[in-house]
Amino acid sequence: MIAANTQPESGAYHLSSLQHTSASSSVSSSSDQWTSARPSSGTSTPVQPTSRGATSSALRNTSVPSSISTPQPTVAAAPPSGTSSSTSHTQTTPVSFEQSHPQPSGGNVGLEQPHPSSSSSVTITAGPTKRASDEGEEGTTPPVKLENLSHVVNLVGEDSPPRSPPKRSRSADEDRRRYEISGMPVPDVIEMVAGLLTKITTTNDRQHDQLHRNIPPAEATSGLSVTTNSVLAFHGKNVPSITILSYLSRIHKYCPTTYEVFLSILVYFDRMTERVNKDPHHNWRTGTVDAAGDLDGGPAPTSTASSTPTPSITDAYNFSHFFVVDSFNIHRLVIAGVTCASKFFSDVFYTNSRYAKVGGLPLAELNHLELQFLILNDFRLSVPVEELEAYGTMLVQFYAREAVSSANLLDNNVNPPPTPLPQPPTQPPTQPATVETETPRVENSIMA
Amino acid sequence: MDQTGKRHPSSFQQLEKLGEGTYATVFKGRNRQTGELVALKEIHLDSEEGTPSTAIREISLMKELKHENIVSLHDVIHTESKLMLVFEFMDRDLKKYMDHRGDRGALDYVTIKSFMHQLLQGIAFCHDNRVLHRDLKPQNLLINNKGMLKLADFGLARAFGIPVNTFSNEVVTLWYRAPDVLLGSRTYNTSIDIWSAGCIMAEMYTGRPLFPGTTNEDQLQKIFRLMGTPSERSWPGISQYPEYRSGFHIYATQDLRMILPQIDPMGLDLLSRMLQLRPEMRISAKDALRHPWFADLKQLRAGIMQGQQQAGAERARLEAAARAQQQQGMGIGGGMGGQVY
Repeated sequence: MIAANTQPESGAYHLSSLQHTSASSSVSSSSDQWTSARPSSGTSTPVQPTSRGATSSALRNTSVPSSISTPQPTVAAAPPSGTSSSTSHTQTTPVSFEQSHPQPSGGNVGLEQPHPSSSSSVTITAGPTKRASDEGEEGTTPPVKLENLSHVVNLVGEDSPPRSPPKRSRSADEDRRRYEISGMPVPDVIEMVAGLLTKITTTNDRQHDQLHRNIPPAEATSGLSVTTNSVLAFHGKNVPSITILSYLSRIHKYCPTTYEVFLSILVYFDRMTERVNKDPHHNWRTGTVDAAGDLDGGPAPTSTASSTPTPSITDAYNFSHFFVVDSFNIHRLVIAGVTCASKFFSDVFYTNSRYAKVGGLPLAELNHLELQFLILNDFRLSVPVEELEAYGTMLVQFYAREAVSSANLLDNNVNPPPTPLPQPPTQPPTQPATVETETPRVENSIMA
Repeated sequence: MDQTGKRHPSSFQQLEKLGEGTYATVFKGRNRQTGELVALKEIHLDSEEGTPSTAIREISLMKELKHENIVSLHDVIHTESKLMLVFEFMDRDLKKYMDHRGDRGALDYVTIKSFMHQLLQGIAFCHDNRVLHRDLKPQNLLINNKGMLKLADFGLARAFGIPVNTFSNEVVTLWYRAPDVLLGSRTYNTSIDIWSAGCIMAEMYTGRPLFPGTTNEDQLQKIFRLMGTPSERSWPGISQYPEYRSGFHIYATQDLRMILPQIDPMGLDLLSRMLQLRPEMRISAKDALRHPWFADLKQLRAGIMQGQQQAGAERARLEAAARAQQQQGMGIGGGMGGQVY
């Protein structure tokens, strides 16, 4: 499957950029690179805090610049058994959440890197103001239709701004460029989605490490609100050993569907995160009060408090961090999301028993998760075309930048980056400078 | 924000059963607190299937579609074993309405015009919001005692506009299914709802379904018998449809007036624009609403109001208004200089 999914030309990019777990060597190398990229992030990050206040929805989870820039690929390799996971989706062997490792903690390089702003969590959010991406050379151009991943990777050459722009102004035209991914092969879309989700979960894992330890065990949740229980339904005791990419690819292999299903789950994750974390009327404090104590000094109060109508900073913290997408819940969120989205978007879908088998969880649990997913989305699965396009654009831009940074890494280590399409030689995506300027941007957009 | 889960099934007193569908049972209900009448659609959550896609679509789409000609979804109540959708109560569906109020099923001129206008308004709103209903038929059009018509049952509906792919052609009850869908099209669009609306309009005039086919083939044949068998000449590209057969029996086009002697020329014009075989030739809902046939609707309704004050039976009122209208003749429609048609 992997071979089929990836464009030969661009394969090298994904390997390092997305499949952190695919090969132990790549993990270590990429983590090195992240480390190297880190310092640079600090320089260009100041934009961030300002951006979040302005925009909508998921922005409420403040992203902290420094934390953004330090995603640990190794964390994404949640299951240290990376090598096996890379192949797992090519086989028909059933996956199960239970075969997983207790926690990625061992390999959690992130622990070495204390984040001053450990409170921030990552959400997806494709908002208009989201991020200063491309130097807006063009005004309102029609969306660029993308054919495949190598096409995306090539964008980097076209789009990458002059190295280390002196100042990133968030002028309007910077966000104008749009990308249309409906023409891309679904596996390519999956690869981009997996890359984004991996980065998000990785970052969130580190940042709220303490928090999920404080989520009460299921037995203790009887007194909590409906929403609380809905959220907790997705939280696994362990991190499944299959990578997000393998998991998505497996789902698509056995329950093939259309690209908007995989794209829309990003929208849903954002919506439910926002919904849960925003609404102060649910009495889930009981579940997280103690967490607040732990993190008292840590959280960045300014950001969360501003967007949450709650009395105190600690409460605000609780609300805004009660539900984040992380390695403990991402698989269940994905399978429930795909199940719901397929039924909504496509005239072709499958029985829940099939989704359960493919997803590696009991049918009864999937049925439960499906309902919880719907509840957390207020049963609203409609996604306006414009919103879907915005997420597609966000995804492409994320992936393109990832490709740049990983290409640089690769270039340093192994082979020269492939040149997939006959494009005029613009800026070779291999400049070290690219890593420095692009990497933080990735974070900015995700965290928004 | 309506908070699903806060309310309980017990918030409603369950009254008589209104109907039973493949995936749901509908009861009349009463809100115990407010006394308001509602329709309760109970959806059983099957273990194999999980939440039915029909329910997911119906809820998701109806939550976004708020319009006076679309049945309002008040609330969703869920338990682990079932979903209960709380809709506004409507007195009956169009099928029953025709059976009860019509003359052997046939409705009067004013009612037809009013219902068609409301139907097209509901459709136009759906299409504006990029939703295909895909199952329009008299049973899915609900009527209340104020003479309002609303679209219901969005279980087969779907969003479009997202670059399209997997459309099923197993949509729309056979009798109201568009010829392009019958021919196997999977790239149909809003025009399939217009075809259904045309079938419904004719049915309101006669009291009988226009094309009561028994199978896909029979359905096509019934359509061709009236509308004429299309050819590559009249419908370029038709031979590319999966279900196209070169051996279709060749019928000449009939005059719709043969089966709808009651219809006035303006109404006939609108109907024939809706019942175009070629999907791209069918009128849009928005344009249909601007058709001069509807120009006198306000006047007719005003006539009804007057009649209400004076006399009793709605029936008599409608007929009076209809007669008044016919006496005025086509002058009204013809006077619509600013109209599209």
